[in-house]
Amino acid sequence: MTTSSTLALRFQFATEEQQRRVALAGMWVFLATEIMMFGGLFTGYAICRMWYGHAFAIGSNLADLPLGAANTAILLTSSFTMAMAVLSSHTARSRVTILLLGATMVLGAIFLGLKFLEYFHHWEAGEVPGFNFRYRGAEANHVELFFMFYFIMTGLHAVHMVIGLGLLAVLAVRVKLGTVNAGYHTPVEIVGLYWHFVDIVWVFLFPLFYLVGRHLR
Amino acid sequence: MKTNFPSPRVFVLSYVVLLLLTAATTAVAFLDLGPFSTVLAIAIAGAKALVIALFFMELLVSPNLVKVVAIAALIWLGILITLTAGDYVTRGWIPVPGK
Repeated sequence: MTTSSTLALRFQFATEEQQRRVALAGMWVFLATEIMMFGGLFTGYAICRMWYGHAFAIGSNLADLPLGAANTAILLTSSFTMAMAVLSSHTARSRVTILLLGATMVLGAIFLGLKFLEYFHHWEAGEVPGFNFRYRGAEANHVELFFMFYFIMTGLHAVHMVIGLGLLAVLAVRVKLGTVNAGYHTPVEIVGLYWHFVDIVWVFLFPLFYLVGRHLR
Repeated sequence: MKTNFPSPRVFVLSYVVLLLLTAATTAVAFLDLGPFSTVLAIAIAGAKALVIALFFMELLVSPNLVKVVAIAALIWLGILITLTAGDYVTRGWIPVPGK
């Protein structure tokens, strides 16, 4: 155990604790840039919702709430399995770690599957701006604006999910190969931070797109 | 290498709380609370984000440097939101020649 962990200490760091601290801080700096990227989109959404509240309520009621709620539960569960994988990576039970990473990937894949099913339903209903948007009711152009925000923000989130699945796959391979082990498990923590961040973004996307003006219907 | 990490029980409890908050925010959405609906939805989402960040992301037991970076990220987001909102809220306060 000590051998493999000492081999993982890069020359520019004095101790493993410093190396881990720097890795975590660096990941959070990256997450800060991600918060700013999504933050800009959320701010744009907030301004438009302030101006066109009724249209946004119309759009939100056209969103598939059971699917959205199910996806929220699925993503929260995947964050739970990811957190447990981080705990497991501290131990020598690499098989449990790989299983938990696998469970996280499966849940993430189910989320993406349901998301694209949702997109397909919107396509069939003619609610995709720029392609076949044909809603002609009240405030149609502002409802279209709602759906623009919907597809761009959930789409960007989905891209992050796909990247996360790739990271998880590479991580699982490294655990299997033994290059990530109980002596050196920082990569599991780092990927965990990324995955939890993507979950936090969805936690805000869900009420803003699925729960606007639900009491009106 | 000393690493203090939470017990599995903390994660299970956090997970249950997150599911309960999700059910709560969905249920409350069907009540007519006027403008308070939005405030409540953001508050619940914020609470869920806090649970994920403090427990799943282990911020509570992270080194101080990491905590500072996370707080700084929130402050930057606050600057983004505040100055953007300030732009829109103050529109029309100063007359523009020719308009």
